[in-house]
Amino acid sequence: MGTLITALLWFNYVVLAYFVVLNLIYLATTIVSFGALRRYAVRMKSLDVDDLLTHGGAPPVTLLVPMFNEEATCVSSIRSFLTLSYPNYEIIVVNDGSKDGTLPRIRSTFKLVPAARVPTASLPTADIRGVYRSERYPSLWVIDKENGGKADALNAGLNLCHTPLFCALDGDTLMERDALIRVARPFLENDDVVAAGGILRIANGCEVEGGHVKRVRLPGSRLARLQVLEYLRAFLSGRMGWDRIGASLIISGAFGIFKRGIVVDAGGYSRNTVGEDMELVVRIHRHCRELEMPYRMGFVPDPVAWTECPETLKVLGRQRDRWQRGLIESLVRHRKMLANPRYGRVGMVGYPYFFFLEMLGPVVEILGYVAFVLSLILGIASPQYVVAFLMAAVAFGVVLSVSAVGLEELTFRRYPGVRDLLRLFGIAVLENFGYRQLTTWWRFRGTLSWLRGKRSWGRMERKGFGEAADPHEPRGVGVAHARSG
Amino acid sequence: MSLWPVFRDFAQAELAFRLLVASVILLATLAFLFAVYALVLRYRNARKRAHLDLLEASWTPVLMHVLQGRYPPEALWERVGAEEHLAFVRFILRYVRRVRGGQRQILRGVVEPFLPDVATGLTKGTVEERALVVQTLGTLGLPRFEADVVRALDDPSPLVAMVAARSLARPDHPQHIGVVIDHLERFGSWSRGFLGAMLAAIGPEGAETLRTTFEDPSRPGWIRTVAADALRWLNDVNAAEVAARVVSCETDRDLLVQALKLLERLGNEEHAPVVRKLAYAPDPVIRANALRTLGRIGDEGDGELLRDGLFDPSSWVVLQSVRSLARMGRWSTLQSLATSEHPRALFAQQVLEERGRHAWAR
Repeated sequence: MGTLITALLWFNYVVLAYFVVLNLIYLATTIVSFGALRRYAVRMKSLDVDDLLTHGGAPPVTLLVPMFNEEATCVSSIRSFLTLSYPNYEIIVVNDGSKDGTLPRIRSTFKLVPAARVPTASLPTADIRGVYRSERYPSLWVIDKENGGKADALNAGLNLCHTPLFCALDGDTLMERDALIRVARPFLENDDVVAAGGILRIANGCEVEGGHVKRVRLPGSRLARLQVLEYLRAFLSGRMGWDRIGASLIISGAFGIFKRGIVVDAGGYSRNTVGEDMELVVRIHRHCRELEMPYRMGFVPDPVAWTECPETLKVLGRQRDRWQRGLIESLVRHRKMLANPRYGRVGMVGYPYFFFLEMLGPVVEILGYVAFVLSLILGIASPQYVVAFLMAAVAFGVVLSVSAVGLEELTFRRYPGVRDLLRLFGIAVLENFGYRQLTTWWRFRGTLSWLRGKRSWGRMERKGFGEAADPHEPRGVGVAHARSG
Repeated sequence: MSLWPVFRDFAQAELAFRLLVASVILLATLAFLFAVYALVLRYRNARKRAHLDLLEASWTPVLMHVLQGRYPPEALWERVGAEEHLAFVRFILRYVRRVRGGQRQILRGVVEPFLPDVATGLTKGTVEERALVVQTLGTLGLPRFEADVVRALDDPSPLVAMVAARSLARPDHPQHIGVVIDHLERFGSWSRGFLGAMLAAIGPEGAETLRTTFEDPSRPGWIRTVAADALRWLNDVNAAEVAARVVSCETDRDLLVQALKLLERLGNEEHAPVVRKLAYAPDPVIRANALRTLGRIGDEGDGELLRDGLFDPSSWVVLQSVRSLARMGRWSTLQSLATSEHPRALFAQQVLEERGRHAWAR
């Protein structure tokens, strides 16, 4: 019993230390983001995006869009991709063995015909069933292949990519018209840039027309609103901060742009991980450092892509479970980089943070809750201390979330109504009573899944963006698959 | 109910507990202050936006009349209050990007009295603020503030220098091309394609300086490459001779590639011999560009060379060979290739489709 009590005491200290360190790092990245975003907002006024477009010199880009069972959103997404303001780009949609009407819908809407396209790389993929080009939109290509997973689909697209840059997107992503020129801008400013990521926002509840978000609104469902706040925190406070520190390990797979040659040389996307986006970024860091080649990666906060978030606990849980598994797979695979000075700030700062705090964090937190309860039962912690500590944890969480809303207000102000702002503040408080604990539980579950060797994606459900039917679309398709936001 | 016992108990509690409670209070206060800050920001921005909207609503109709020549600029000036100079300049800056020629000149005249206020920001403020000032003066304030914008090329910040360079690289200021090229070394990290397009924006009047730079062996190779790229954008036929000379004696890979691209666009059959020598270069990028160029300026005898290219280990070289054969009109060769079991048949199929020739159709 004495041993148990001693162990519990020490574990409580570990939890306390984890809490203090994690939140201090969050606070540090928020403070760094604050300064960086302010400067960035002013900087953007001095660089005219339209001028960049008309001046030319923007490198050709290929959008790679893997799709699996995206019948509800495929047409809207492709429409948004076709109307981007960028001088020279192509789109390759990869139908990854969808079992629904994804390919028939794309084929009929965009008038696909079989076409020849020369491969520029030979990354291994599942069998290709056919390559098509749109008669209506010659810059739109579609690869139909056997199912092999998202990474496999991206590699299939990479094999047929003919441009120096490619932009990986999710099948349910809606890009703003100037998103591509904005996210490609770092490549104009610095030849060493090998990858850049933009910001993802939640499309649920927004008015979508012609594949573009016309009016931004907070989602109706509380679960989606909680994710809106999470995304604000993750991108504005987190990624911006880590990017400024020079130790970012993530570029979102739903909206990231890369130099094709570097990714192919690094071996393409890894097919045996569910976190192929993070794994690729970590591998690029490793590849460039080991070859001692100058390189940069960036996070660009102003180009926006909109994505649909899960609106049921079941689907959200699967997503978070998968993200945690992906995180673990990436970090364990490249653990050689951990605290290794050869990998610079990425190895000495970013990697330890993600490894010890993000990866092991859910385990520490869940066990921390158990330890607290046990400590109360065994009388080694006073209820007042526990309550005070939990209140401090909640208060810290609220500070971080409210500051993310403040960052949003300082810079982009996408949510127009004051009511939206007040709702976000409300969510900032509410998320600490149940939602955070749920996400921690899902991440913990993801850790257990990884330990058990689980590799699958799980089933994601798409509801669509609630667009009006295209008058040119064949009847029977369109609104029936959509759902108002 | 008295709170004194609560405070007394608190004061007597352990230090750790007191710290914990104090931190809760501090954090809650911080959260509240951040929330208030965000609301104040929202309110302030909304008011600012509403005020600006009102101002712009009063300026816009008068501006339209000024642009149409019905009113003099003074009609607009009297509507700009002492505190509104910067807002007015930003308003005009948005308009000037949408217009060309005479209307641009009118807008510059309209904003001219307010630019000295803007210019005070050249020597103070953050990097980004200075860049914005330079952009404003470069777009609206030339030639009056020309010296200031040229001086900004030497600003310690590369961002400010780049904004100055882009402001000076305009067709109405060809005289600045020399000084912009002289400062190109500051932008070594920028994309070569972007820099080439920037220099090309000066227009044909800058071509002579660009040719001199392209040929000057004392210049760093990458600057010569950028100059070549700009000449290609400008379709400067006189650059073809320079490119041929560069191809025959230089070894810098990027410079060779740009020179080949220039010849592909602007060269003629007289330049083919120097290009042929590079058709078997060790570097596949050079080979690909050489074969591509021969597709346009080569002759019948180059068909053999291009067919050799079909066996090149590099896909890019093969693709350029096939495209060049198409350019030479070797349709029967390509169609035979497309319908054969040759490992490179797919290349021919793609190029034939690109050219709208589906005679080999599956």
